[in-house]
Order: sequence, then C-alpha cells, then structure tokens
Amino acid sequence: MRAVTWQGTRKVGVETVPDPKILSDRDAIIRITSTAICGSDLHLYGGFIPTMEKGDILGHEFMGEVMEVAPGVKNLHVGDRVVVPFTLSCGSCFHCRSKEFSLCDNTNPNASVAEKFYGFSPAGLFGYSHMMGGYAGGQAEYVRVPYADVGPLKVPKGIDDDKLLFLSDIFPTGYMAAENCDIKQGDTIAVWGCGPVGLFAIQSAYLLGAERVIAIDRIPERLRLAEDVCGAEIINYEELAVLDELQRLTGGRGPDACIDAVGLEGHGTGVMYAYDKAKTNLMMETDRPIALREAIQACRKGGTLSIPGVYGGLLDKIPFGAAFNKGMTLKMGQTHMQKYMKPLLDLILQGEIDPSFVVSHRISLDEAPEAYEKWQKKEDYCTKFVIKN
Amino acid sequence: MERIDDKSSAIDVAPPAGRTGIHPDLDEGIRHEAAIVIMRPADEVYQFWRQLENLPRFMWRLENISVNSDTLSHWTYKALKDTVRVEWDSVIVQDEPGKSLSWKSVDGSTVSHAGTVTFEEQPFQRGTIVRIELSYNPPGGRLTDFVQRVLGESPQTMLKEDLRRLRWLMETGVVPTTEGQPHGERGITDALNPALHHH
Repeated sequence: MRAVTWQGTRKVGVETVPDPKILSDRDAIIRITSTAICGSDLHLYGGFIPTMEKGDILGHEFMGEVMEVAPGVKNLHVGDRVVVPFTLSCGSCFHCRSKEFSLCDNTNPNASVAEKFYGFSPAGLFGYSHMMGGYAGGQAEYVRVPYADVGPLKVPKGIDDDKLLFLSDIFPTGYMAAENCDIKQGDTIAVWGCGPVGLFAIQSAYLLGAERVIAIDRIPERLRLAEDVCGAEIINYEELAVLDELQRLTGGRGPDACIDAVGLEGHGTGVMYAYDKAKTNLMMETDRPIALREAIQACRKGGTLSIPGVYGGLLDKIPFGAAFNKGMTLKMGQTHMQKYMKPLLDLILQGEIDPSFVVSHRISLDEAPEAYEKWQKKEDYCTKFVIKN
Repeated sequence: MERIDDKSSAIDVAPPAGRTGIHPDLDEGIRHEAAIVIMRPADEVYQFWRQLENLPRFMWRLENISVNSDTLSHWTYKALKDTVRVEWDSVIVQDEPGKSLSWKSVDGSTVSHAGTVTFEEQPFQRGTIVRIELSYNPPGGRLTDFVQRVLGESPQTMLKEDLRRLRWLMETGVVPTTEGQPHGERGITDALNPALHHH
C-alpha cells in the first residue's frame, strides 16, 4: 500500500510499504476512505516530539471500512463503516473504567519509555512517536486498529465522510476543551487559536451555554471562520494587545474561562516569542508556550484554564504565581475519545452541528508532502487538509 | 524519652517497607522487588499465578516451567541475551490461596532462588496490589548481575516489565505489540534505538 511516512524534521514522503496484518486477538484492519492532517502532526513535522523514527507512518485522524477482524473483536463486522479515535484504549483498566480513556494503562507497548519522560505512560496513539506506542498511523490506504472492540465507532452509511471524519479527534477535542471550562450561565470564554480544534471549541462552548466567546488568532481566514461560522467575537493579536482588549471587552473582569487551543508551537509578536524561538532553536526549551502564558494572565480570578493544545516537554517562564494567586483551575490532556464520540455523532445526525466547515483542501495521498509544507507555513488559506483514497 | 524508645523498637520489628517478611530465604543473595496494581480480584490473579505454567507468558526470561507435582516444578531460564540457559527445580514452601505464594529452588541447585508474591485486594474497587520479592544467587554471583546490567538487562527493570505484562494479560487478555506492522525505509541510526526493539 501507499503511506505517508516521517523522514526527519520538516520532511515527509510517500512510500510503498507492506499492507498491515492482524497481529493480535483484538485487532481489525480498516480500508481508509478519508484521513486528515492534524495541527498536532505539525509538531512531528517540526521535530518537536521525541522518539520519531525515519519510516514511521503518520496520521491519527481517519475513517473507513472494516476489512478484517481478529477473533476477539465481536462488535465489528467486515463491511462496517467506522470512525477510529486517535487514542488506543483497552476499556478495562483503572483509567478506562473511570472514562479517562486517553490515560489507558495497557495500550502502550513502550510504556517504560514514556515513564522516563512523564513518570507514567498515557494511552498509545496512532502515528505519534515510539514513546506513545509506535503504532503505524492512518495517512495510508489501510491501517491496523488494535483494541478494535473498544475504539472504532460505527457510523451510518450515506452520510459524507467529511461530516463524520472529525469525530476521530478534533471535534471531540474541541468539545472536551469546552466541557473542561465548566461553563455556567452568562460565562464569557476566550479561545486562543482558531485552527479546527479552536473552532470546534467555540461551537461547543455555545452548545454548552456560554454567553460570549472571544477568539484570538492572527490568520484572517481563520478569524473569519470563528466570526462568521462559529459566532465568536474576534481579536487579531497582530493588531491589538490581547490582554487590554480582553479587559475592555469584559469590563475589566476577564474571561471566566480560557482555552489554549494553540499548544507547543505558539506564535506571538513580543519579546517572549523571540525568547522561546531562540531557546527552542538552541534546544534549551522544548515548547513555545506563548498562548499558555497569555491565557493564564488573562483569566479572571477563580477562572478555569482548559488546554487542548498539545505540550510535550519542559516549559519556560510560566506565570504560575498568577495561576496560584488567582485561584485558577487548570484542566488539560489528550481527549477521552470514547466518552464523546457517540453523543457527538448524535449531534451531527440531528443536524445540530456540521463539522465539515473546517475543510479547506481535499487532496490525494501523493499530495500529502506538499500539504504538510503549506499547512506548516499556513499558505493557500488552509484550515484543514483531508486526504481522499 | 521512654515513649520515643518504644516507638523505635516497634519500627524495628516490622519488616522493611514493601517486604512481606514471610519468606526467610529472601534475605540471602541479590534481592529485587516490584509491585503493580491489577484491576482484577485477588483470587483471580492468584489462580493465574498458581498455574505456574503461566509464568513464562509474562516473565519473558523464563523459557519454560513444567509442573511435576502440586509443589514441585522445573524452571528453565534464559539470561545474558539468551546466551545462557539455567535450569533448576523449585518447590512451593508457602501457599495461602488468594493471598500469597512462596517458592524456592531445591537444595543443591546451580541457582539458589527464592520468591514470594502477595495479592492484596484494595477496598472500593481499586484493584489488587501484586507485590513480588525475588532473591537469587546466580552462577557467577554478583558478577552476573553486573554483566546483565551492562547488557541492558537490569533484573529490576525486567521484573517491572514482567509485572506490566501480567497486568496486560489479566486486564486485557493481550500484550500490546507493533511487531510486524508496516513502516517505510528506516534510517541507519534506528538499529540502535531500544524503543524500536521491544519484544
């Protein structure tokens, strides 16, 4: 089959590799019909995530048709149409029983490596480094899905892939980010980053009862989606001082909750951006937490900071004193996918939400390397690339 | 002052932290211990362990265990990157169903080995703490232990991985693997990366 592979920092290729096989009693093989490039794939592309190896198959947002199931998978049948979550979960460990599916104890074969970095290992992930399990990803024609009796969500036929595909990661991720804000009547939510996760977080915040959502970015087409499609007030941080503007808009109280949908490769305008850029280039810092710092500073007293943006390592100059003295609540982590996929599918089927609005480009597998470059440079008005097989 | 003395003597008689104190042979030789929480009833984990033939399914340095009677079994162990194979007979010296199990090598074995495993079911569905203590005097003594560490086979690390595999089997029925999955062409440095070579 053809597959998109990591070749080194800022290099991806398309290679012919063997087709995946059933390797374990709870596996399934899926023929992929649609698969997307995620903003977090750019962290791999940029070389920010350790333990990637040349030849690793990328991709963790995919859906398709069940081709084969191992004897241990009773709930799926050949021909079923499924969306596959980006996290692997066993369904029976302490964390899965507590619906903390992304913290599953049992799906990372390289748990001991992750433990060296993080103390404990989170769940295995598709196409997201060897530390996170080394599972071959889904930017390919076929994929092996382990623990297929717990992960994949069966979806009805006759609905366009683009409406369902983002149940694999970014729609539930945006939704959990909003849910983590513990939204109460009258609340104002500020969202940093108007990529797809930020956009879904805006829509979800309104679904969960937010009064106002204020979105922060610098890219005009993304701010336009935030304003026109999602109904947010917008701040372009290259034109306005974000902290001042948030104070002004909220009458000096600050947003009740802040969502950092940017993560470790933040951009900015001031001296802190120059600082992070220099330090990460010198390998003295792993992440550029510009949005995180600003969100902590901006949040009202007693407010909540929700972090769906991915962070990987050691962060500098975090205003933790501000978080402490304002009595803030911090919530974060990879999405507990199985908790959200089914209810959000129902919202899509009821016509409450149509996630396909984020798609800007539909491409073939062979066009993926070019798409990574455009996505990284934010060229060509890209908001989301979907690969069609 | 007297009260402080009382307290310290009370601490003296308790086994050191993490020790069960039920196996006298554990005080000899090189000792290792590890623990893990498994979300299954203590009885079930005990029963799995008591079928000694199951041990090589998660203790991957054990090549085979053949059970000869209710208390006697024959163990085959691989070490030093599979270059050394050691065999001995083992006898169960203490058996409290659902709670603990102790064994040791029979007198005169090339390897003097003893072990205890305990199963402590936690309240409120918090699973069972499985605690294992091993001691052994390998052929070559402490030198073997040193050589194993140099070869990246730290017994302590292996013991922890063994227990992790036990949890994988008890909680999910499978061991997670990527062995045999497709990938593109590897670079020249990847052969050195241990993360790519788990088994």
